[in-house]
Amino acid sequence: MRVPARIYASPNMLNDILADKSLEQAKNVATLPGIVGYSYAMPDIHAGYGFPIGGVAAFDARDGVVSPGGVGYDINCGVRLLKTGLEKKDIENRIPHIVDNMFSLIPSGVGSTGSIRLSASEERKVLRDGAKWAVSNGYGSPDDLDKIEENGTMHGADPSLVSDHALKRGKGQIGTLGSGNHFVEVGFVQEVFDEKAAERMGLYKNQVTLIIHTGSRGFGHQVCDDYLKILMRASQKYGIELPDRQLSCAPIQSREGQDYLAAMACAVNFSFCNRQMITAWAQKAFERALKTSPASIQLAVVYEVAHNIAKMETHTVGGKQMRVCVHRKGATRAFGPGHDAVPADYRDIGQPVLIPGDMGRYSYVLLGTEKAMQETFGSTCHGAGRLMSRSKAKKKAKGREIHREIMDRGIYLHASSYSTIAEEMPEAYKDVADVVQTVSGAGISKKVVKLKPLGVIKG
Amino acid sequence: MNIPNLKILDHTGDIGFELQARNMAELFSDAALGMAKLICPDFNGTGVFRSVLVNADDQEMLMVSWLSEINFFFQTEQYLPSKVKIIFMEKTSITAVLDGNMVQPGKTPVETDIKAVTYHMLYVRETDQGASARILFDI
Repeated sequence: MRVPARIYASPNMLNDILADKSLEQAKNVATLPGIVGYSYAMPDIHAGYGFPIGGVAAFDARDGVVSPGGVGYDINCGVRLLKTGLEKKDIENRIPHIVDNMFSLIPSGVGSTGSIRLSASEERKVLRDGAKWAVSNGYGSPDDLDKIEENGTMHGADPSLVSDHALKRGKGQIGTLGSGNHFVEVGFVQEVFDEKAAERMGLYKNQVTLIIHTGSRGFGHQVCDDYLKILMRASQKYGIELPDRQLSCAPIQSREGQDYLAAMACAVNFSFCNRQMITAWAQKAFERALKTSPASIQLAVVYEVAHNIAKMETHTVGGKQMRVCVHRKGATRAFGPGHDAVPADYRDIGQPVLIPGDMGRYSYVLLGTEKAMQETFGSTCHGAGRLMSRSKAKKKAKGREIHREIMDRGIYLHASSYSTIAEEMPEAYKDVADVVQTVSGAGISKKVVKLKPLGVIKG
Repeated sequence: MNIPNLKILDHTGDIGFELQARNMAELFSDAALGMAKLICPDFNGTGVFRSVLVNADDQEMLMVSWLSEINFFFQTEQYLPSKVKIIFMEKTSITAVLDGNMVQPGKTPVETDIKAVTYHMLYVRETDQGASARILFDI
């Protein structure tokens, strides 16, 4: 190990964390060339492939490496939070209508494809411009872009470095939710912990909110797959010993490393565009269900975060400013107050961080802190973290009516398949409140509000 | 399709299997059919053929590339194989013909969306009894 591994966890989480291979994976990451500080594990850590999910690792830009496995297959999987001008009481009786409309307007489920068919040249524009492409084509407003990480466009994207397979897999998937743990959730602000910060974000008790959780779909999966192979050869070429082939990597400054970052940026932009377009369908669903105008819904982006990404950032390491490539795989950027990358509206309070829980409980809005800047390269957790494998969850769900159990909690659920409902049942996940309590207790994030679901669509 | 020597593996975020076969060609064929079964357990469509030619740097990469290519057919046209005929095979190359059809989700439910075939904990090896492999899928 070149650096130690550091885990953020409460004592009651340790048994679950020790039960899988996630710590061994955090240790493996610590062996990669150019890693600085620590190989971090957030409290929602669980075993991934190569890198753990819930891991953060930064590599010196001069002699460190970049690894597709440190980003994951679902490049720029992320979360967008929107607020509305509505209160819970305004829509309580209309939840099934809103959710059913969303389900019919937002293509969801395995291999879902949408109604948007782009020409090859338009698809390349999406890959270069991200959410900006969506806005310039009538999906949402330019103001939305201010509230997205990287303003919705990651620079340096080069579509010529993306394979035909990736383009084919992405074709027709723009503006689609996909399957697995991806969802759109209508909820409300149940509890406010920090009045000042909540007010700054325009959030207040009982206000209706919307969360969108999805990523770069088949396009991103294929980019990762293609570059794992390329970087596997590069690892050999540059004499990098790998404890696991899934950790394949190349020096950041090498041609292979730079090519991966430029192709990854295409997938990051695909994902930014995807969430921007889904927002437009969600807006339509509200209008249809409530038979009202956009002005009375006032749907607006609070913030959008990426939680599978590698980024060039400047951090303090050993008392010195250093340019590093921060890999966040199942981890969220959590920049503290005053950082240039935080939108002007939030700069004095810190970057909003969105932590979705499972579909039956609650989600949190947090803020990044100065301590996160000092300790974790400005990073925090990303969600509840799986506790059970999907097949174990299915076994546990056998003979039970999970759909009814969710509905009995007052949450209207519309999903593509029963199989997804079983795999994604609440007890398959850690309690996100424990995860949030841990990062908040450690001072790397600060609680702002808690959101409670009213209705969910699952892919 | 029945694959007797295939054992499903539990993994916190994902799913996978271990399998044994009498020889390497059968191993690759069973791995393809096993993956198709994970995606759509009740599928048995035939009559639409696809040819596959994959090259790789070594046998493990060949397995990942082979299964990734078949998953690509599913991801882009909902095509799955029910039968596999290996035409030519060596350590770093495989040529095969798939006999399958398009899955119609209304008729045969799709259970698993495979994002990718991973290298994590992967092995493909010759054994005294023939050949064996372990493959994990990101889902």
